[in-house]
Amino acid sequence: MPTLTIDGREITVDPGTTVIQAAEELGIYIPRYCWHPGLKIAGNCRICQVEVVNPKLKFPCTIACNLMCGDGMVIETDSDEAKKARADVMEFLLINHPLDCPICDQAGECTLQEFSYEYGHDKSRFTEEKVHKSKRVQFSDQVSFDGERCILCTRCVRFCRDVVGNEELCLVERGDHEEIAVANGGGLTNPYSMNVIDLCPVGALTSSDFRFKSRVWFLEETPSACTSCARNCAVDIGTRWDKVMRLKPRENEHVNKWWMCDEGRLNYHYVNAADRLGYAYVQQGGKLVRTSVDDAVAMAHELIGKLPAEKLYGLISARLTNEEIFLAKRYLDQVAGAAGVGFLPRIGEGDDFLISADRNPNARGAGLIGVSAAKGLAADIKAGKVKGLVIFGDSFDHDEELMGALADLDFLVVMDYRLSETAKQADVILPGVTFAEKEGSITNIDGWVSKLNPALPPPAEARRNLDLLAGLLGRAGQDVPDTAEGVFRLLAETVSAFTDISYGEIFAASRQVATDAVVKAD
Amino acid sequence: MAEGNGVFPPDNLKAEFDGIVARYPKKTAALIPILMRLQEEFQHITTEDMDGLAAYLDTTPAHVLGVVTFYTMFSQKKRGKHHIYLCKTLSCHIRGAEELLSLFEEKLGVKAHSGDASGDGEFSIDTGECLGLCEQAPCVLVDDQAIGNITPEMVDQIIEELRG
Ligand code: SF4
Ligand code: SF4
Ligand code: FES
Repeated sequence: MPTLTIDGREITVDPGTTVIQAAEELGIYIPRYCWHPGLKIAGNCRICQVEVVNPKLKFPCTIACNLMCGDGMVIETDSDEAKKARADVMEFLLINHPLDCPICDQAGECTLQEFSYEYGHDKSRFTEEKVHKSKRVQFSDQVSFDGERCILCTRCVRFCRDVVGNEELCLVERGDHEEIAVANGGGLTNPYSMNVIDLCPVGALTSSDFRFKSRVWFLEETPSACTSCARNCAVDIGTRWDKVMRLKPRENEHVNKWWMCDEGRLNYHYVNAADRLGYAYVQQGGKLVRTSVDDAVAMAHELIGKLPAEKLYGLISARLTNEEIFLAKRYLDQVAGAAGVGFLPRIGEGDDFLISADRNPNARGAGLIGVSAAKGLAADIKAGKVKGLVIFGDSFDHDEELMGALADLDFLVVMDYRLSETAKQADVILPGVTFAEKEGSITNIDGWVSKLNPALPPPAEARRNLDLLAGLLGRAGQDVPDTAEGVFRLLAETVSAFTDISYGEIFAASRQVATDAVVKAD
Repeated sequence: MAEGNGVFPPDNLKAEFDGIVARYPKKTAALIPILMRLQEEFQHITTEDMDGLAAYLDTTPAHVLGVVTFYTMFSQKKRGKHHIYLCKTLSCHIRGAEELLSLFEEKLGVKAHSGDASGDGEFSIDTGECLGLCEQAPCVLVDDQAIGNITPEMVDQIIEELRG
């Protein structure tokens, strides 16, 4: 195991470790464009210059990203030599760059800008005509390309080729005419294509969905998780003006590494949509009439209490958090005594990378808490076995059978974040929230528990689902904690799979904690 | 495919290409020799041929496209039957390459880099990097024959010979 010295600090590393990685372990950041921990080494951008201290070397600087650590090596990452080398590299990189930061969407999160500021010159000595390249090319509906801003680091090429296994991008031409192109004119079609936007260190690849909507420094970023499938990729929710502006993957070594799929990334527009429920409603004379949330909760509880318990069924969405599912189940089991509870399964197409065929984000958690997939609900309603239905956090607008069965119910209570067609049939509608407005935990397909954090306040009079559920339990004299953390403790006391998880740990570090208990649970 | 028959390699070239592939320890080593033959045969390399060739050599369209665009001998636009390649690097430039280019363009009625062959499909012109004949500047490559020390008078003669 080689031992080397970086900036005066000694470190022993595994053989094969590169200097940039060893520095990272010491918390020393070496600038990089082409190197990325999730990609193969390319060593083409040359910005990661460090000084190898050795009097025999005439030119002591070399790149750190492909330099293997050697025993006794002495590296300076911040010496005058290293900084001078980086400044020289910057000068070359900027020769043909259009320097159009004021109209570039990457500004504010562009490492070309940052390293130029840190190491570059404040003047260009280049007086020739710059080389012109492709501008405003759509690699796909979502990915826009500007060839003049590209520094040819090939991160995008390597991601498609090595991570996704779909070599859709390539380098074409040569010399100063070299640029990135979609191989043979087909679009960028892989389901993870938008990761190249995050990977691109400059403004060459930008998101058609997000660009020009907001300067990134105005965004508030909240660490959370994607709820579009059972993978639960870690994300940052970027918000501004009380709207979600974008989702970006956040590193999580156990769940999604650095990536997320395009579908999950783009599945946030419903949070900002016009059909969000801001108020509680009750059905009166065939019309939905607005009412106070407290009255609606009381009415829902009263309706549920009137029905013989064996005629009551509860749908608890597997899109809800562990805590919400736990409280919903407690209410239905202990207070209402419902004959059955279940969730609506959602199955799509999965792959062997991230996308899970299970499109419910928390079916695993629901299963652990004792809620399984609902079966034969429409038939049971038709047969008169179920006369009252409570739906927590779900809808089935496109399920004709279930929609058709609703007319046979004595009552329907719905808690949801939007006025769905399902909700429109309800006697009482309780206005809840989406993933972006709540705190709580979800359990992914492999048993990793992730945390959602509220990035936005609930709209208008809508309330956090936990508050609505606590309200219902409160009507029956059951006092439950009013924080997600408190409810989690209660859950952990009750459901053995969660017992060993320290809630504070997943919450504080925004990291997944594997629990043997969770993994062992099946 | 090459002439639109949907098979790669085209029937008439299959035996030859199989032979080229057999010459090398690795299939992809045959990429450039085969591209050169395709360029010669069809005066350009089509997207369909690149895809077909990628499959034939067990590589990716991205790899083939990278190679085709890297080398100026390959063209995705159809060249004339005769292709004139003028060197524009330093020595030739100093010794009048610019003037020669105008002459060729004028006499053949076709612009360099236009990708178009002349009206009759006979000629096309490109300019490019050093041919390694600096001591004979200015020089041109006519089809695959290099000619040095070109004077304006020689331009007519070259064209006449090509027209036969
Ligand atoms: S487009 Fe971006 S990621 Fe791709 S090579 Fe250029 S700079 Fe690198
Ligand atoms: S793989 Fe699943 S969890 Fe990850 S981003 Fe896509 S939909 Fe979301
Ligand atoms: S990061 Fe080392 S050469 Fe690009």
